[in-house]
Amino acid sequence: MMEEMFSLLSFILIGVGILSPTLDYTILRGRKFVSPWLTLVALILSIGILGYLSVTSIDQPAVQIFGGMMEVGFFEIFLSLIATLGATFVAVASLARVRGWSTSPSFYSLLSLAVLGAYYLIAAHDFVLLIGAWALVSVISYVLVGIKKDERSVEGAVKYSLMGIIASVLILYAIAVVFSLTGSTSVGSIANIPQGAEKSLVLLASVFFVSAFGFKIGVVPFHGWLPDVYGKVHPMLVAFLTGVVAVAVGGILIKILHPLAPLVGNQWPVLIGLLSIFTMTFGNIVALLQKNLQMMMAYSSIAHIGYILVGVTAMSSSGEALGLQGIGLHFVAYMLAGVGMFVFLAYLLRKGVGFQMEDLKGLGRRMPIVSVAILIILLSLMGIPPLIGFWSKFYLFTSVIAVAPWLALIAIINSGISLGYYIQPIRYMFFAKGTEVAEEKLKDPDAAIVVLAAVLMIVAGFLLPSIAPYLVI
Amino acid sequence: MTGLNFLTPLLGPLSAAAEGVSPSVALIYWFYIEGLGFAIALMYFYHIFVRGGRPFYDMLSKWVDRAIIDDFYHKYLPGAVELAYTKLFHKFETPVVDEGYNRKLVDGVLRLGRVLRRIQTGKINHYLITFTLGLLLFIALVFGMMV
Repeated sequence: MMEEMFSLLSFILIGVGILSPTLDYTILRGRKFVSPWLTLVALILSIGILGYLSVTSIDQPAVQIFGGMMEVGFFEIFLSLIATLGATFVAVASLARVRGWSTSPSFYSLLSLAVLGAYYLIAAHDFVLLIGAWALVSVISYVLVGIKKDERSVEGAVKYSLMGIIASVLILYAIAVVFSLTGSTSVGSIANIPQGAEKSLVLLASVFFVSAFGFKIGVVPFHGWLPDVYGKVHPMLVAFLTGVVAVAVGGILIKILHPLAPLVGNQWPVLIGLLSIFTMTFGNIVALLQKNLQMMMAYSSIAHIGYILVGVTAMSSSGEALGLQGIGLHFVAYMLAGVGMFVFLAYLLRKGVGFQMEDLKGLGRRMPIVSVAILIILLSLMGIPPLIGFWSKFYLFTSVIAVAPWLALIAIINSGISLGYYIQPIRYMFFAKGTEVAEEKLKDPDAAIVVLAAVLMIVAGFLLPSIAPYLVI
Repeated sequence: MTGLNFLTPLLGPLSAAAEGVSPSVALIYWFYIEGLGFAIALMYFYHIFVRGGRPFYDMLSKWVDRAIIDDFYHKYLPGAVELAYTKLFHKFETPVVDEGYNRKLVDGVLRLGRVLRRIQTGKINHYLITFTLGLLLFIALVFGMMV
């Protein structure tokens, strides 16, 4: 049944991806009416199918489909569901503005194809499929970053794609190294590498995989493109990157590193732990200096990838199960916060409000409901209970206490540093005087998505910890 | 008393006398007699110890009031704490808490932030160099640890 369902998902998303711009550009002569709605229907159908699959697979072992090319279990379906929700939020929020762009049919088409690429990437069990899915997601993300065609978008897209080429080459190197050890292109063959195998090759493959996937999600020092793209490109496009691309790449990173961790042995916690420290400390300290909310969120995204690496550090130790659960929960928190905040920025942009902290003065009175939603999102990013951000950080930091207590301590200190900058927008929105003209319209799809993201953060905080034990690879 | 044997240990010395008497009546009598005994003991205790010891208590409470509460607790203890605070925190609070923690640590973090922010030059060649150097450093670290 799993294979049929994934065939159906592919059929729906490819069909909509190809059909919608064709209809809009040719038959409807550029009226750009069909694409958004067709994409939304496809994404909602996908959520329904994945929701059904998640219920049926919750306590079942993962199954291999398409002749062993994909391996799908609850973990993969859970991450696919997060990515699809992220894409749906972006699709709904973009109804307010993106529909007006000349390239909007392409935007919606690429969005549905990117979601399909995310499914393949998350569930890839063969390196050949992995390369294909990686290329699909990468190329779509480079194109989407530049799709607005203004100077900043194009500059961001060029930087992103040029650095992405190096990352793609590193993946190919890593796959070649693994193939030389196993003689197979199956991802599962990593687990069969004998303990006595040339350890330097195993380490080299691990370094290449971490660097390549780390580039895509913003691990320091492979993050160079991220502040320029997340901090300067149109926020709606950044919402897509945080909601879909980061979740998909993070998912495959976890799946590849999971069998490699025991082969690397005792050095694993130190290596990944150091990357985690660099990433979260860099993100938090530079975010502390930002006066621009979008730049602050760009660096905050880097810091949160550092927190996810804390869970990766726990792999092959007694805290592995807790680490995986924390990673799963943190992807939910990351997606909801990323999409919520960047859609909020797009909303401000549409309303003519700037991104400097000074521009947020009195926003709590002008847009009370959206401001309260942003308050909830920021509290979740800080890790305040009972929001999902608290649970994910709690699981992640607890998972490494046994294997690397120093890392748990540094992560907690970093979480403390982050309060310093998350509190700034709250202070300006609620405690500084500005103009008090009401500008809020909850009928606006982007405003509604911000509120929905905040509500889901509360709901997820109560519900998801109970299903976290099923997040196993 | 059949079926009410559990009362026997409660009734204690009265249990023999209560034999054949209804349990409720026996209980009432038992409480009366026991209560009377306690009342006599209480009166004796009050008369001998409490009333008899009153002058001693008065003297003790005066001494406690004056020496411990007034002098020690309200005078010498705050004085000692104030003295210790002045001596200790004069050399600790200002240089360590104010200068070190509140200013130098924050300055250090902000300076580090400014240095790290300089990496973000906006130039792709700088990012590629950082990427390559980071990768080489990572590889060196991994193989250094292996050796």
